[in-house]
Amino acid sequence: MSSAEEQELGQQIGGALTLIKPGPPPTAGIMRRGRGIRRRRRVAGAVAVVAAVAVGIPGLLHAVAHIGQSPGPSARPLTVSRLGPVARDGVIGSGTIGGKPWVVRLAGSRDPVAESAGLPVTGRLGTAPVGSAPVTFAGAGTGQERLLAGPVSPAVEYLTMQAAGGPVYKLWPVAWHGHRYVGLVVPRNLAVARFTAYSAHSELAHAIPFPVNGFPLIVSWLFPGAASPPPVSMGVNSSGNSTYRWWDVEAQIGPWGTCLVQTAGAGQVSCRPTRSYPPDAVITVMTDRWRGLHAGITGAAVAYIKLKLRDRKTARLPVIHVGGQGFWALSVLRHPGPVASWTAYDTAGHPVAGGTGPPG
Amino acid sequence: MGSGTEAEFSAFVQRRWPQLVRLGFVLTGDAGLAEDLAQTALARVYASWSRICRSGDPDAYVRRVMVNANRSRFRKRRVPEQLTGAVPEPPPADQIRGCDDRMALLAALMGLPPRQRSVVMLRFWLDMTETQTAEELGCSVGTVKSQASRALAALRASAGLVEEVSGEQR
Repeated sequence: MSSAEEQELGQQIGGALTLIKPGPPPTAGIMRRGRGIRRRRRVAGAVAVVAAVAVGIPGLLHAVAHIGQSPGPSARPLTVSRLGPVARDGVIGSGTIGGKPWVVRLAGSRDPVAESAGLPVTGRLGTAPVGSAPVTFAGAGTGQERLLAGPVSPAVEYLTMQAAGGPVYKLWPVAWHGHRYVGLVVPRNLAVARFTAYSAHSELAHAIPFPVNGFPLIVSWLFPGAASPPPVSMGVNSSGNSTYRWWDVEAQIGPWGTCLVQTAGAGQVSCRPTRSYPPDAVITVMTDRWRGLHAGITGAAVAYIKLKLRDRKTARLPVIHVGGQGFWALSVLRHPGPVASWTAYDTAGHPVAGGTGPPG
Repeated sequence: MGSGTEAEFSAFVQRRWPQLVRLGFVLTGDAGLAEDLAQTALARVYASWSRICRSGDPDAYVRRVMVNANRSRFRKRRVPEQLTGAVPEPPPADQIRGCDDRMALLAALMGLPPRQRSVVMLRFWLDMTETQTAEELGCSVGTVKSQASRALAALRASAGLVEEVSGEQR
């Protein structure tokens, strides 16, 4: 590629990126975060290694009254229109948000992407949902609106999306090149309590979405007869030699699946379906480089984890068990990380797993 | 930090914000995450603003923070439904024909694997040399070359983009 072509490609990319229209910069918030980082650095400077101390299981294990991140202002009113069974010009969804119309359109025949004006394009949707799911949504959005679209199983007649304490929206699949899709745009903070998939005669499955940044995330589907675990929230809080708390990770387990949520700091969320792991499993689910944070899940046999640090000290990392899964979190400052190796032990003190670096 | 320095930082944020969010979008495939990434990077820059200014290249610093933060996020984060608008593979051109050309290019770009996307962004959008790109991404120049070559081949493979990418005439 010649330099002229390189330059042209750069210009074309620049042109394409103008489709992304960022809002105004949250300068005050950025400065607040920056001051927080500076404060933490000063504290951290006095602490050579902060290995996590997960504390107080009973006191921190409680029913989730408030799932996910705290809700913001109310969502703008949403309407969803019913379209014909076959997509015209690729349109698979339409409606209004706050009185302003939205349209979801598919582009591509064999394995389309979905697009809606003013929002990024989704990933490729595929032609069928993943596994036994009635629908698999791909998402794309801005801070205020999120496009959800995906292929629907042939068994599904229609879906509903129930807003908490609000209306129930019916989503009718629309055929496009021999496959059926649903698509909609949801406003931020529309608290979605439940998605339900119906056949012509009965309920097929439902999903309790997990709210992430004000938008619903479907982690797993519950089929009739399946146990629906009650919501439980578990804090895995850290403190170091100083008592300055500088990050929190919460495991939120419930009918949506298992989610690790950083309730302070970057607000990361990592979710996966709740499942039985091998007894000796130790898995990293979340990392936050800036806080030196590692958090994860273990199998039922892991009672605690011993960390061997590079300065030859050791630290004991508790594992908190809920519903057959164990949870751990630690923070290690300095680069490269000071954890040389780890060993997981069962309740009898027998090693069951291990490795180098941080666990998982 | 004095008010003069704060004003200077504020002006830096105002100037760079759109570019950083766009870079973040290409890195993450999600506008929300892009803004988070840009905010994270700028907050870190703010925390060391005086030192970074003395180093003379806050742009490079903030870019590096974004690339690293995203790499870390991508390596370890496993979410069943990825919160992303990324296209795993670029759709064939006949599928996107009729769309806006910029949309098609963006879709094709977002269809590249994350590393190739990063290389394309740094090399061709930010006009960095192969050496600079390698330094930013923490990899070898050879890796940059091979990733760029694969990325361009993938972009060319989207038939509708042949003309745009290669500059060839029909």
